[in-house]
Amino acid sequence: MSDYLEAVAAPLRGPRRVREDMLAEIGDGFDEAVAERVAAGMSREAALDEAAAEFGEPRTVAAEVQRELEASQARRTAWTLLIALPAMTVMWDLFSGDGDPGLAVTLLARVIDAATAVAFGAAALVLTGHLERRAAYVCGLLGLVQIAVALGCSAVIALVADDEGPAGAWVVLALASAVGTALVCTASARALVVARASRPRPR
Amino acid sequence: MDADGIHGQLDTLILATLKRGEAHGYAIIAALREHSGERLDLPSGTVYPALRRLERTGAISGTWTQSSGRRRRVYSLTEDGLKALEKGVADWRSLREVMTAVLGA
Repeated sequence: MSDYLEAVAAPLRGPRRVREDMLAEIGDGFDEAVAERVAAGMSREAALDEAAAEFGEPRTVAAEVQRELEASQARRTAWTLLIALPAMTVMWDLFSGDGDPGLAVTLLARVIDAATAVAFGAAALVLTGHLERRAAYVCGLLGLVQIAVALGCSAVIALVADDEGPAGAWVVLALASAVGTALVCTASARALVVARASRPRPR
Repeated sequence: MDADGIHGQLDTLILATLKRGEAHGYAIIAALREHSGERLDLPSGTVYPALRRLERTGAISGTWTQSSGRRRRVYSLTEDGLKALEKGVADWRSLREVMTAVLGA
């Protein structure tokens, strides 16, 4: 990897595959720009310097690449929210029993549903192209908020619930929730890291 | 003309270049320079993210190809891209008319 490409790559954060593909493309173009100049009789040193000048300040190029990485991460996190959140909601509805859970549990469940709906809605807006600005930040933040609300309310529900539900239901729910929580947390945390790397930096 | 001067027009320029036929990143950069009579002073590295953005919005499609031992992403214009190009050209003409009218007043 050339010094130029290393300088472009250094600050980048985002999906590895997309990052590598974009750097490979820029690297290929940079190599071609150098080769053209060497073929025209320029020394390799001078060709590298001139190609670097032609391609632009590494931080300028990195900022543009980072914007695309942010968009890509936002879509990935949005997909995770869009699939995992309804799946967890359905699991709770299927395994949490048919009896009257009482007012407190019902209210707590509605709070979880509201947090889920907000995160799901934001994810849908990102995937349909209606939310682009700070999309990774919004998805990451709302994903983590949903998990925090769900965990907090679920803990209280576990303490106050009278209905034990079907045999083994809580084991299934706990496992499914743990997997869903891990997926949403990981995707949301990644989105926040990428969003942070995409913030404009003072020159 | 530098990058600030063509702000907002780069996408249209790329789409117009791809209307002539599919091309990889550096060929698009070379074509932009050639067709502008070497007057376009654009940081070439910023064209690649612009290509990704256009691909994400469906205006162009990209596929990896292998040629002469090099792995390259080749881009082509889509139907949506053709419509975006027509809109970009119309917007540019409209802006030019406004500029001409105001500057000539």
